[in-house]
Formats: sequence, structure tokens, C-alpha cells
Amino acid sequence: MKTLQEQFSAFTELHSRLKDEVSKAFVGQSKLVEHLLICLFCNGHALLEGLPGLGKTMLVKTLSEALDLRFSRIQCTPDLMPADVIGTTMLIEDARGIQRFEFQRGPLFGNIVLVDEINRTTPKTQSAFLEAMQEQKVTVLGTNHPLEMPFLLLATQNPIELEGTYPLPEAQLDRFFFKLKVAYPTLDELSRIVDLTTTETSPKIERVCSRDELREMMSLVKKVKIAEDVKRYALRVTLATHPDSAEATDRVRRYVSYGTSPRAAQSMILAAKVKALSSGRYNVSIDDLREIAPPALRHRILLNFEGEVAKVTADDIVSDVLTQIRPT
Amino acid sequence: MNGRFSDMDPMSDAGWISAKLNAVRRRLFLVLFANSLCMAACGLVFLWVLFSVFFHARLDRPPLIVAGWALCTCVFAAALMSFFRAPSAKEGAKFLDSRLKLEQRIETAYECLAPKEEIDRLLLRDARLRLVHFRPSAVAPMRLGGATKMVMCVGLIACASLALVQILNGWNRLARRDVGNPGPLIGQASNQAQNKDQAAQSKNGFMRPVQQSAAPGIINTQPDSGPARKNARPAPSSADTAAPPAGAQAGSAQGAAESPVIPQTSVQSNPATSKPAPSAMPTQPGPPGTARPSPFASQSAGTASTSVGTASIPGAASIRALERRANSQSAGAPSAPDARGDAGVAGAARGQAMPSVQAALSKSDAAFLARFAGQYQANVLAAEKALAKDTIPAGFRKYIAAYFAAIHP
Repeated sequence: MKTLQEQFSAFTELHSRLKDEVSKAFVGQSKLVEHLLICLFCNGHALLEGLPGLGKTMLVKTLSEALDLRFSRIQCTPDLMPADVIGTTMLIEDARGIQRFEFQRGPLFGNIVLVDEINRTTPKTQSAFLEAMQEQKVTVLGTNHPLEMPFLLLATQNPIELEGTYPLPEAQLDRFFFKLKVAYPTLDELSRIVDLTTTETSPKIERVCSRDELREMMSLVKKVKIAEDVKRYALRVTLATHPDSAEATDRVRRYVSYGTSPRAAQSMILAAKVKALSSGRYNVSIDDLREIAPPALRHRILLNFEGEVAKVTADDIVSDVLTQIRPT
Repeated sequence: MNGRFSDMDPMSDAGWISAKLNAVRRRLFLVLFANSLCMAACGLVFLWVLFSVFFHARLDRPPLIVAGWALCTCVFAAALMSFFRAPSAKEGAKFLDSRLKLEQRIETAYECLAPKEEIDRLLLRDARLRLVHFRPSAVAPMRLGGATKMVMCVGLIACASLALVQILNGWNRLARRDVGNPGPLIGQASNQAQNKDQAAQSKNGFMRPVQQSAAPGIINTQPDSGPARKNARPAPSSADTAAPPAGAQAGSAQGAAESPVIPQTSVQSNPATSKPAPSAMPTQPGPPGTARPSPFASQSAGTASTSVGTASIPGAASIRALERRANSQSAGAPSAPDARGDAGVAGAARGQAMPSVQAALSKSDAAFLARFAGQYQANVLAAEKALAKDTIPAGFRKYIAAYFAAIHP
């Protein structure tokens, strides 16, 4: 039986090895990888936003390979139906000729599910993901089908080509733990990507840990301590995104229509705990929260018309809030 | 929290950390006290300068006693400020975190001083390991904080500004006297009194005749103005302030008695009602209900006399008298004005006698004048010595003349 300290050390080591392993195939974007791992350890879901061809699918596949988890992919189209995602009940005839209905699991029943271009499918299908994301189960014909843990849903969406798309409703956006932006690689990174993909040498991804080990690590996260004032800082930042709150900044009052939900505070604190653990600490720091705030808050802030006209982004608002709100 | 600290085993992580936090608290209090002491001293000096410039406050006690009181006040104020801003143990923990860049380790450990879970013990152990080589004096050195530095800078700038105001005020006063208009000076009680006297005099008609006497050709600074002396009449003993034009007598009455200079026009203008002006009787208090003769009343005469040239500046006349004395001493033959002294010559220049220091001291407000008598006498001696050597440039000599006119009580 490992002591708590040994478990924490194992977590730090596992996190480091996972990052290294993913970096073999996915070049650069270390922050993106780190944030994705945070989502994984927090059992949260991530919305990846980036232009086509930036390696979003590659990243998710590499991660599932390193963790020895079941990976499934759903390519969203306007004619995709919920049954295509969740699964459907089919009439099955066994060897003795007896027919019975049996639930055939859809691609949602995986450990790491990549939902590609989620904004291309209809709201009906999008809502099929809601229960799975929040409750970690699906209900078909009155029967609950729990999803296998860990369950990590990674959805991607394209910031351009918005014609014929169905923007995600706020309720669904709020269920994403993080919204991560995939940036364009730098020249050096692009050179390495080209080297990796145009030569015979392809990186071999090794399995870093088993599913059980991963579950054990995930349970460690909630043991990390957070000081009262640090927690209050996270809550103040969350509240400051509300235009009606006393902590709201001028930009928030002017450009924000709706602020973040309590899920934002949960996400920030939980993610900060993973960040602290991966840094070898047993406590959350203010810097952890400040680093975690943009991906945790940006998709939960709803700008008003004036903000959109002024081309203010949610990241600008978060940055402003972090600048204005100082820890006590 | 102190009670909780004392219950702890000093060998345990929690006890060790709490002891360290107490040490940090003490150190922070000490630094805060030192900073407050500097701020209090700065504030005290600023107040002193403020009062001395604007209210002419003087310290009548011996310097040692004053310094002792100032020190006590500073210490008391600093202790008071430190007491109300004394850091708690949690603030000490936060200070350590920020200073040692420990990322809220100590702050979190402080909240786990009564460990219940294994993670609490891990936190305490981690915090202890981080503080093993730590000394409170290294983390909180005895140096001025940013706020203290700012306050001290502001205080210094304010003191310098006030000193500048004082200097400019002095120049302004000199300049105003040069053009014959003393004018109100910033917050000076003496000047307020002067203004009161002037207002009273002008109200009673004292100022107007003095201005009338300032006609061209009236003032003659040469000692041998014989005809003027002949026209002079003895000064009446009564100081009836209701009788205009008293200013005419400023030149006649006093001038006839003491000065070789007689303003002819003023004598001729109203010889019958020639009465001594208040400015001509500095040593005699006026009747009830009239303006009190003030030592500053001589400035009224100066006001009028300067309109015909700088030769009538009392100080200038005084300096010239000193020059003459120096010249006569070098020639071995003393001149007539020397017998009356500098003040007499200065007063004679505008038709009245400037009171000597002793005469001024004998007045009712002798306490006020006595404050400046020593300084005045010393400066007169120094000026005489310098003039005797004749090493002073003409410009500086003129300045000295104006200076003595200005500082004369």
C-alpha cells in the first residue's frame, strides 16, 4: 500500500511521462497538452477550437494510445441522429432462434470520445451529448446505461466556416470543463511536424499507465488543499465576470451580458488542484488559478451586442478581470 | 492563535511552524514600528515647519527638552500606528509566501496547524522543509518600506516648499517695501498687526497726509538743509489723532526736533495745525479709541518717501550714515549725523527718528521687540564692520540697506 506522499510522487511522475509521450507525436503546444491532461485528471470535457489541420484529432488519438483507453470518434454532420451517437436497440436473434431486443452501444461508449466539428450537427444531436457529459450515463427506452470511467469527451469546432453550423447552446457550453484554443504552430514546430509526417520514422507511443492507475490518480486530485483566501480569490474572479456584481470591472459591465456559472468556479479550483499536483505541491496557489482561469472561463462568458461590435473577446474580459481582481 | 501555538509540541511540524510564524510576526512588528517612527518624525518636522512658517510659532524651551518631547511624541505615535496595524500570524504566513515565493504553501499550512488528515501533515512537513534555513531578519530586513519612503519624500518636498515660500515671502516683503507698499504677508501675525495699524491709520486720516508730503523735492537727505530747520516748529505734546493732516507733521514735528531734514511743503501746507503724527511718536501710546502707534508706523512714512526715490529708504539712509561714519572715521573727523546714531539718520531721511533698539525695548510691546533686538544689534555691528572695511559691492550694500529696513522691528 502506497503512502499518500508516494501516490503524489507517482502522480507527478505520471503526468510528466504522459506529457513527454504525447509530445512525441504532437509537436509543440505544451500548454494545450497540459490543459488537456488537466481535463483528463479532473474527469472533465474539453472543447477544442482551431482551424482544420492543426492536429486536434492526432492529439486525442495519441493521448488515448498513451493511456490504453478506448478511443472513439464521431464526425458530426447535419444529418447525424442521436441514435447514431448513443446507440440503438436492435432485434437480435441468438443461436437458438430466440429473438430479443438488445441495446447496441454507440460511439459515445468510449473512454476518450472525439466529437469532431460538433457545431455542424443539429441541436437535437448536440443535446444527446448533454446527459452523457453531465451524468456520465445515457438513457435509452427508460434504461440507464452508465458510461465507462474515465470518460473524456473532446469536441472540436471550427471558428471559421460558420455557414450551416449550429452554435452550441450556452447550457452545453457550460458543461465543457475547458475551452482550449489550438494555435497555429511556429516555424520550428512546423518543421518538426513536417519531419515527423513525411519520413518513414513515425513515433511509437508507449503505454504510460493502465486504466486503474489512471482512476487512482484521478481520485488523488480532490485531496489537494486550498487555502481559504485562495479559494475566495477564485470565487471573486468568478463573480467578477457578472456585470451586476460588485466586483465587476468596467469592461465586464459594458461588454458582458451574462457571466460565468458556479461550474466555472468548480472547474477553476479542480483544475488548479491538478496543476498544483503536477508541480509537486500539495496546495493550490494563486498562480495556478490565474493560469487556469482563461480556459475555464472563456466559454462561459456571454458577450452582449456592444461587445461583439467592439470585437471584444472573452479572453480580453478574463484578462481584464485577472488584472483588476487582486488576491487579498 | 497564540493560545493554539502555545499548546503545540515544539518538536512537531505544526509547533515548529507556529514558532516561526510568531518570530516573523515579531519581526514584522519591529519593522513596522521603525517605519512608523520615521513617518511620525517626518510628520512632526513637517508640522513644525508648517507652524513656524504660517503661524510664526517659536520654541521657547531649551532644545534638549524640545528634542525629548519630540522623541516621545514620535515613539508614542509610532507605537500607536504599529499597534493598530500589527500583523497577524496569517498575515505573517502570507508575507513569507510572497517574500520567499512559496506559492501559498505557508498560508495553507497555517490553516492545517491542527492536522486531521495525512495531507495536512504532508503540507506541514513541506512547509517546514521550506523554512529550515529561513531567518526572519533576512526576510524582513530593517529598511524603509515604499509607503514610508513616499511619505518622507512628500514631507521633504513639503518642507522645502514651505521654506521656499518663506524665502519668497521675505523677498516679497523687501520688494513691497522698496515700492512703498508693505502689503499683506502670508500668515504673519506681525504683518497682520501692521495691516491693522495701517488700516486704522488710513481710517483716521493718517495715511493720506503722509502721502501728501511725498511731493518732489520735499525730501532732502543732505544734512545741511538749514532753511528747513528754520521753518521747523516745536512739536506739540498732544497727539490728537482727529486733527488732519497729521502726515504733514510726520516731517515737521519730529523732523524739527531730531532731524536736519524738513519736508518744506508739508510745513508750508498746514503750519497752523502742525501736530505730531503717530508715526513720529513711536514711544507714546495714543489715546483710547485711536490707532495705537506702532513700530510699523514708520513704514507708512517710508511708503510715502519711497515714491520720490530710493534715497528715502530708511535702511538706505542708515547705510549711508554708516558709510559717512566710516568715511569720517577714516578721515578722522566725525560728521554731525553720527552723533545721533544710525537710527536717527535713518529717521531723519524721511523726517522722523527711527527709534533705537533701547528706545524700542522700552515700549509697551517690548517683549515682542526684545525677541529681535539681539539679532538686530548683531547685524548692525556686522554691517558697520563690513562698511568700515568698504569691501561690500554697491549692489549688496543696497540689499543690506533694504534688509535692515525690513528686519527692523
